[in-house]
Amino acid sequence: MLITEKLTKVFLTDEVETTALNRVNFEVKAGEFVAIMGPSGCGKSTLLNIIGLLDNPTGGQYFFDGTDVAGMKESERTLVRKGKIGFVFQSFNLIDELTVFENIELPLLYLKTPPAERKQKVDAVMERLGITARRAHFPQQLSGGQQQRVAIARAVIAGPKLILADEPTGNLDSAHGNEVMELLGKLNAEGTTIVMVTHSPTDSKRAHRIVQLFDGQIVNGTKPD
Amino acid sequence: MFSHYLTVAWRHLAKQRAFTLVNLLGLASAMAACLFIFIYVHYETHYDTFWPNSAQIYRVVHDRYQNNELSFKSAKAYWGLGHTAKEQLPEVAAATEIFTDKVTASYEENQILDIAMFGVEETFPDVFQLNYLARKSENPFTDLHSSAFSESAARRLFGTTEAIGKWFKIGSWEFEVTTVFKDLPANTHMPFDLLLSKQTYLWYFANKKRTSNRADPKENNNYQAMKPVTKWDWSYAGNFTYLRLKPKTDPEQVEAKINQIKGDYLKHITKDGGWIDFHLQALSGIHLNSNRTMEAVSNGDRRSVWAMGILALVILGIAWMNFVNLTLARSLERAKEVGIRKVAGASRRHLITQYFVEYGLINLLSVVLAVVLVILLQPVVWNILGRKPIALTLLLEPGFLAVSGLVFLAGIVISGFYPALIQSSYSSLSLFKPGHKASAHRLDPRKALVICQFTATIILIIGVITIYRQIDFMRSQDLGVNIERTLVSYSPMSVIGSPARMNTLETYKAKVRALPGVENIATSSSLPGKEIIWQRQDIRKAADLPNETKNYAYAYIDHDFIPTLKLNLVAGRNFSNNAGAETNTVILNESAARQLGYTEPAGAVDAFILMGGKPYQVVGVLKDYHQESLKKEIRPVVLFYGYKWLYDIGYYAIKLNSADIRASVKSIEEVWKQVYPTAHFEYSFLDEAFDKQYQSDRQFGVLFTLLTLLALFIAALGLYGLATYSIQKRTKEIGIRKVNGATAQEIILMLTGEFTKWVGVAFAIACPIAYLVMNRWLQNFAYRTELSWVTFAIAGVAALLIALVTVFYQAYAAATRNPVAALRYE
Repeated sequence: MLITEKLTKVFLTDEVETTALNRVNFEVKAGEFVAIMGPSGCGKSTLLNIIGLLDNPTGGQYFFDGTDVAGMKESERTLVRKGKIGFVFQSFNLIDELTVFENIELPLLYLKTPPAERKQKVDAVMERLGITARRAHFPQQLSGGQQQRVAIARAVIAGPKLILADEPTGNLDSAHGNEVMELLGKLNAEGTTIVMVTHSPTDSKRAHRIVQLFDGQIVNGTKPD
Repeated sequence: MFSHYLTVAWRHLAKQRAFTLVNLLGLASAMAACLFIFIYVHYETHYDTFWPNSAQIYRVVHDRYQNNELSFKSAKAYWGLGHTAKEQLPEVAAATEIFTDKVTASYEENQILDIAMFGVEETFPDVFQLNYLARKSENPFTDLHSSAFSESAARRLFGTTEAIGKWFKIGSWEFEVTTVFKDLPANTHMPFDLLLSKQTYLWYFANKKRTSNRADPKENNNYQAMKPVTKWDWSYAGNFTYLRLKPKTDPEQVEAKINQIKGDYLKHITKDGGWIDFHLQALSGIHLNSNRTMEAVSNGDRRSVWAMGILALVILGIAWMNFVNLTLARSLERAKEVGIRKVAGASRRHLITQYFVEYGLINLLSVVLAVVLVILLQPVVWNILGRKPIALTLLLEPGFLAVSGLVFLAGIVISGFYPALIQSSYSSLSLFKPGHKASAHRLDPRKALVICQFTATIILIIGVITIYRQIDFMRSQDLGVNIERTLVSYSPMSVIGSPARMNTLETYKAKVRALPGVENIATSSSLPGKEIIWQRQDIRKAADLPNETKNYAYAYIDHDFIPTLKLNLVAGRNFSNNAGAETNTVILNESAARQLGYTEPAGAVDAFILMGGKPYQVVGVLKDYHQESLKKEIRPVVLFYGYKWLYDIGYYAIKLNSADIRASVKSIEEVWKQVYPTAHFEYSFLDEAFDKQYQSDRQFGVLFTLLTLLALFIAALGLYGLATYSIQKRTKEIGIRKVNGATAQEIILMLTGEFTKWVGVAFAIACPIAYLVMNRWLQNFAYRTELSWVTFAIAGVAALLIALVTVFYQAYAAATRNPVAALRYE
């Protein structure tokens, strides 16, 4: 599914050079559920951003679905990303001015899906995630768990091959966190590849494989206990 | 997709109510001001376009030279020129000559004073087609008594527009209403309410002893044969002459041809060193482009109109800058949304489209609000400007809608382009690092925009102060003539041609002078406050050669004129009370003495001048005084003793020294009714009449002030919004500074200091621009005030104070907030 070779990311400010990723070789096969763990500042989110085509590496190569995407411009990355990669964030990142329905249908709007088809798909995914009753509500009116379910719905609405989750349970209590992990597990069981950044050992147990990052380098890639 | 954008746009506007309101107010008030100005500019630039074939109608005017020097530029042309042009030039489809007057019409108990009357020929309808409401026959002037009335004048005089067949009087002459026509639109350079046949009017003047007698058929049939003036003599430049050219005719060609044929008709002028250049003026261009002597009414000023148009665009620019500034200030708040949309698959084009829909919505709401403001405020605005209301139906005309639509679209593009570009440039990483942009921006555009806004407003403030200083300067200067407490009336029409006119006048003067509260009374053919119409080009020193004649204005005064108006004789003497002794004497003003070649006024006394070859002795020289406003130079004037004006309209000037002006006026009116029982007593005060010359300047000043205040309001609104946001962003910093010992005063100074620096930069840019612009404007005045440093200082201080007042409250609230609350906010 995706392969990085000697992937490097260096952040430059006026006087300081920070190496966030240092020649990382990383591979995820289709259908895998991979957890990335490590201390704060080790480069987990940076790696996720590059995998998700939200950012460009400063060195190395990145192949997504066989295509070298490392040096692409943002507009090119958007086209590659569209419909293929879904994102779930720690802070949900819903648009406050849109209703639940409108937040979920957003990727379909940009894929120019016809209105009737959009409605049908959004209704189906809301039904599946148990949030149909909230279709007309705004994010401020939902609990954390509900917001994350909406975010997951938005991430999967276009049927992406890959879902990237950045600390998806970080802002949730344990009950809601478990719900979210259950959902991710089901999606993976249905064939969606999932790469998840997490601090939680409990959550990491859902993964097929844990990758440890430290100071921008992969130090260990193991199966969970 | 569009409905999604619209929904999101509406919700964003509703969510950010304060900023939406600031944006709406700023844009709507600027747009409303622009609409008013565009209505005004459209009105001013469309004078006389309502006449059918207006594009083919031209007025013939002339420049008079004497010995190669320009004497004057007149709006009139010579009698007979129009008809000569029609006869000899195939390009001329029709020609007509008009003379104008103001008369008093009376019917039973009603009167209309100063009704604008045109004496017209049978060719008038060939050039100017009126809209007739009713008429007795196709020809409006079938006989001696015929007249045409406007509907509003008919309503005022007769109480109805059904006035056909009604008889009214002008003095003792009787006329019948044979035609009623629709009122002319107000935007015409030649307003009139009454038309008489020119030949009829001239016939009455030539036959003053006769009064009309409706029952006498001989009068009706013979008046054409008794007309006193031939058509073709080109002797007198007293007519307005209009030509209607055939379609696709080049007016310059016609102008050149008229100047070719004139030689045959102007030998009486050219033989004495005179020269005439004729010009054609497009009818629709007269109002704004013609400022000649003897115009029918005061014309507009093209420069003022275009200045207003530019001002409108400046105000709109300030409002658009506001919009850009406020939008950019809040752009970081939308960075997260941009990131989410990009993660969800939005391209930059999607985002730019979304923002343009949002800006379009707010501009549209502003337009609607602006139109509402215009409808609600228009009576107040026209009243403040001292203008008759201009119909708002103009707003619905296709041309106007097209221009408004273009301005609206331009507004969306200009005000929305840069913010859309910036906001759509935020990368997906904005989700994680708000403010992370695709590229770094070295120059802060918000500062540049605020500086631009305040530069424009400082220039406007300097402009307003300068305009009022100039008006004040003109009104406070010593005119050289005392126009205070001076009651002025026209001489009554009934004395014109009357054999008893002199005796009646002496009786009137004696009775008025005997009244308590009256200091003196004088008569003259002209008074300060109006242009001296009479001019001669054949005046020279007796010792000069015949080709050394120059142009002088001249008037007739009596021996009471100089003491009544307290004019200053710097050499020689006043006229005596002996008409016989003063038959061949003149008094000059200093300018006339200088033009004759006398460096000292005393040098001119007892010298002889020639006028038309006839000698006159100079008996006195007056210190120059302002006959007209200080916008104009003082002209050389020659004053004769006498009452030649008794064949025309003259003026009675009565100097009052009473504390009870009203009682004095009442007494004077009683004397008038005794001496002139058939004449209506109408009067004005000389200082008020003189002051009217500054009316257009005052109106311009009022309008300029209103627009400057609006610009200030919009700029302050923008600064308020920007300051609110900027200070909010620094809440954490302020909290940390306070925790580390900063006082509220130091915080306030820190916060306000940034904004005052911007105003300082704006002031430095504004000053040279304002100096150049206002210096140029002041060149329009013959007598002008100086551009003082005080004006600039006041403008700078005013701008600074406004900025400080605008920002202070926000700074004070932030500086006095509990630092814990500030830190917890983060």
